[in-house]
Amino acid sequence: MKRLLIIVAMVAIAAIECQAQERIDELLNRELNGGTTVYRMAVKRDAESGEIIKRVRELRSTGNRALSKEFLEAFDAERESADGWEENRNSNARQITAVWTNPKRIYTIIATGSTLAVYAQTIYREERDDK
Amino acid sequence: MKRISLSIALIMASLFSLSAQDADYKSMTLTFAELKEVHATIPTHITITASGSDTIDVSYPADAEEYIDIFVDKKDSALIIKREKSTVKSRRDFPVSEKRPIRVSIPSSSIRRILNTSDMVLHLENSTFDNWAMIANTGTLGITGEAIVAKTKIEYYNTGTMTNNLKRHDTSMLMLSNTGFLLTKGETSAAHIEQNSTGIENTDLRVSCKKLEIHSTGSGKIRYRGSADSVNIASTGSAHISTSELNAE
Repeated sequence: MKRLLIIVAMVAIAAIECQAQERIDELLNRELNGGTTVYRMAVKRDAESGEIIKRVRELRSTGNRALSKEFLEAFDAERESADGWEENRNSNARQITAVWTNPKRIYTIIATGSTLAVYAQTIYREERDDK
Repeated sequence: MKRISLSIALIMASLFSLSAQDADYKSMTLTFAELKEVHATIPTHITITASGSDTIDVSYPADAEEYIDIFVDKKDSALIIKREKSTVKSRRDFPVSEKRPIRVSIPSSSIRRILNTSDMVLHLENSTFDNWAMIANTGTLGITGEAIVAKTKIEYYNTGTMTNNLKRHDTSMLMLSNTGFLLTKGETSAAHIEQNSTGIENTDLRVSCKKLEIHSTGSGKIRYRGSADSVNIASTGSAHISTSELNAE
């Protein structure tokens, strides 16, 4: 019974960790809709298989306080599930870097009033050394 | 029985009026090897065919003969379709319209540029253009057919209303530039796609590209699906831009 409870707890924690990035990912994947926004995304692929091994996304927005607030709330909501968390805050700005190890993701947000920058790096697998 | 007879009579009447329209057209043939461009400033239906010949088949409403001027400009290798200036009628009385357009059939392999400032329907039976193809529209243009193929680049420039229903755009680089209303659907093999929009977009493209760039100050809906190694979007307008289906895991 004890073993079963431990397994259920581990599955629940893993699910919560996945959902953590999902909320932020959901905001990053949401269609751009108004305001002044720059979005960049790049993938690195395995040369042989074409499989994506790394994805980097960047979202910058100005004049959209509601979006800044949504992203900050998504980061705050997932603080407990992060494996690493660094935050700098002053009266006008917040900068957060959150790290998850499984799967490996590094997300950074810099929010100053209505100016927002979000960087998200997802590493699906380590690059193979072909040498 | 009465209803069936009436339906048959109506069908016969509409078939008769269609054939009457064709009966009222005159034809001519122009010959020019390596035609590069088509410029149309009056309502025209263009069919790009698979023929390897040098002949350009033209038909026009018989009563429009004195009011139109259709010729090949040899210097620019361009087919010109326009009003005859010296006999200009009022717009209302001009015998060429979208219901009675000029009809042109052109072999495609050397065509590079199609320019329209009026009402045009462009049908691609044969899709292969020159190494690059440019379609520019300031009027109303509808494009139909299976595909357009140009090895190096395909460019669509629009300041009017363009509805592009081609299923495939096969090229290395695809450019969409719009300040009017532009509908673009289908899929493309282009490695590099660039979309510049200050107008109203309705874009839904499946891609497999290395680079996708979107600059939008306009509105409408832009959707890209499939795979893209690099995406760069700058938006200051109100367009709904969706790229979440790219590289979907």
